[in-house]
Amino acid sequence: MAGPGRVIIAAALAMGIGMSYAPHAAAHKGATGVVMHRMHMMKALATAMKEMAAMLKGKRRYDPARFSLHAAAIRKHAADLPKMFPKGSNPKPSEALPGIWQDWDGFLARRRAMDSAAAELAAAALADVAMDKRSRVLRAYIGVAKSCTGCHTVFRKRK
Amino acid sequence: MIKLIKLLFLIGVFAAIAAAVPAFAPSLIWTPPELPEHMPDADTKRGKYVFQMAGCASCHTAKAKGAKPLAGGLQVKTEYGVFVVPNITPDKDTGIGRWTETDFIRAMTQGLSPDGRHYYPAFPYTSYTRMTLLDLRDMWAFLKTTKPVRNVVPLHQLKFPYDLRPGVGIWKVFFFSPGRFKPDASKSRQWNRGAYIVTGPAHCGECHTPRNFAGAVEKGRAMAGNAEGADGDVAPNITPHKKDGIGDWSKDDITLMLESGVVPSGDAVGGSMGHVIENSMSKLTSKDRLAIAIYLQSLKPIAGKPQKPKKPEKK
Repeated sequence: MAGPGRVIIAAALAMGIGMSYAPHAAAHKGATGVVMHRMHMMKALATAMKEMAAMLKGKRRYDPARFSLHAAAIRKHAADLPKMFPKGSNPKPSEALPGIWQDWDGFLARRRAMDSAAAELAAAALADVAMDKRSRVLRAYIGVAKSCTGCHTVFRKRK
Repeated sequence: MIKLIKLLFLIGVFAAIAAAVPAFAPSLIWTPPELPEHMPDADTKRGKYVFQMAGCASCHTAKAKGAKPLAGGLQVKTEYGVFVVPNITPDKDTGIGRWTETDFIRAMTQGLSPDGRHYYPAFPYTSYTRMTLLDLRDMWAFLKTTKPVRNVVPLHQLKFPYDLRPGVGIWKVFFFSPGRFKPDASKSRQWNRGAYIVTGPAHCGECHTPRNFAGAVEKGRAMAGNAEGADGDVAPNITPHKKDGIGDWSKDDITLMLESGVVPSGDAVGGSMGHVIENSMSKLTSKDRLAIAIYLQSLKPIAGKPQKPKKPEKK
């Protein structure tokens, strides 16, 4: 089985791996430990936000059940946030600002805001089984999105 | 040859005089605008809306915990030195409580203080000058209803020669074109509304347009991004260029971003744009956000992304 076939497979695999990591390469390169964990968590949040936005904009079939699922995941991530930012865990390429630990109460307040916004999203999605309350879902989605932006404005490194 | 030198010399003298008049006697060249006769009474509720659109709180409220709204004190670090943002609450001694409506309109549209000094263009009067008198009046009426806060703000700490304020007068001759927004009759009402918001009160170009050697916005690259935006943030290219700008964003993508801060990739913005979303864009009507999207999508696509000059790694 030696020969060009093997080389091609190896190259294809290498390319595949390379490509699958490509989107992270810019921001997440070299992250390890808890920094890598939270970067993946943020990426998962972004993917959820993106899918929901696509549904609200009519680019994807609207499905309130998907909103419920994402809202539950966001609440789980919100619950995990304090563990994801242990004191002083800020080596490169972390995008966290030291303000998180200087104003830990402020950070926790942002976490609570994220959780209650996601709880409202869950409730709105559950109430929309008949798919006639999309405006409430949209408002709730915007509430979650604003909690992301609000926290990033204060606690995320500038680009 | 001598004739030519003489001519050049004369031109130089005239230019210097032209520059010096507004630099040293700015109040000589400005007469207050005459308000139209049938102007409705100033409306503070509408004024609050305009005030939010103009994003005043993003700079005039300091970021420190417990900082009072609009009481100033934010330090803006730039290559010219540190600008300290003033108190714009109606406090009589430390704010703008003694100003008249005319003082306010002159500051916003001419960049002049009530006693005739030039403001540095860190205060974006270069954009506010396009605002309508109605908007300015209502905004002033609203500002007067805000809570007066006693807060003495320190002076700017600028490097030489930028600390010489008359220099701003010379700068203005070359780089400041005062004048209200002129609607384009060939375009729709929505487009004109968007153009007014973007180039006037919302002053988007102050960050999203790159600046030249003299710190003035480069008109030819409007909205093409700026590596040195507010607080040193990179302000991205927001022209509809497919690769480098937001050419693949739909109108919905733009309006949702303006309302919530979430971009099409699902990421949420932070930094100075986060403040713009929170203080301004999320508070506009959806109609106004749509007008902004329509205007932005109509711009000429410009290639190129703002690049931060690479700095040596600090240890």
